[in-house]
Amino acid sequence: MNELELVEKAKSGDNKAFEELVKRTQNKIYNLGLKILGNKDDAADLLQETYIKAYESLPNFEGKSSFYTWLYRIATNFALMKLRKEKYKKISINEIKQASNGNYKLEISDWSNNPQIQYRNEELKEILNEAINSLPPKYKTIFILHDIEGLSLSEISEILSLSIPTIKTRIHRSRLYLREKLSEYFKKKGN
Amino acid sequence: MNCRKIIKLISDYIDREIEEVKREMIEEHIKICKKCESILNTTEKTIKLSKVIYKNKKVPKRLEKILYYQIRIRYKK
Ligand SMILES: [Zn+2]
Repeated sequence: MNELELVEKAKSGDNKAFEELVKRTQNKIYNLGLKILGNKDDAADLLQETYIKAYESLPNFEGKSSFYTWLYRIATNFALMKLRKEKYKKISINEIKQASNGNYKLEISDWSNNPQIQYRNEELKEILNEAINSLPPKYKTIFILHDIEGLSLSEISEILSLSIPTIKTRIHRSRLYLREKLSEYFKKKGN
Repeated sequence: MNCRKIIKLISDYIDREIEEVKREMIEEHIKICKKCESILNTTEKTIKLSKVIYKNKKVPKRLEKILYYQIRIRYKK
């Protein structure tokens, strides 16, 4: 049975159909939670809250977007709320703007072929992970949805109710900020 | 185009969200500008690395049980 049929059945009160939709999407939503929120406990909360909310608001789901996009919307709203409440080391919007400003002294050594870049380089992963986590929530969420989860600009625009130019700007700034952090790492390592 | 403008367009270039003319201008520029070439290469690498630092996981069995319980107690009889 396809998604549309399952959604229709679930809306008319078929709980088995709803459970099938959960089954098909739960890993995606859980991983989104892990990536945005950074730990298992919060990802577990996100998972439960997303499906409880989805179940409760199912009668309002009009099918204008796909069920996936709709779920992502619920999940990212929850994640953003959670991130905003949290007190962790976030960088300022100004800092992130600076990193993408051409006037700013960008680190320009080309480390893209540095032999230190190995997918098993745990230190490098740690630095990057930390840098992603320090992005302001509205940047981090978009960066993860686009560059890591591979969602399209228009999907993200639907999920977050933001214009495509706004989304593009945030992706761009996030990338350049992260690039800068990695450049600092390679500089310290002596390139 | 100066470096500042090139850097502004780098993401559009990477995502192929760019007009042909601008794409060509960028390609011409990075042939002669080491700085912008480096920024382009390292930005692309940053994106690639970001994709591989997370390993996708399955919902743990215990959590799955809780999840279905949480949903089922809300079913209307
Ligand atoms: Zn240049």
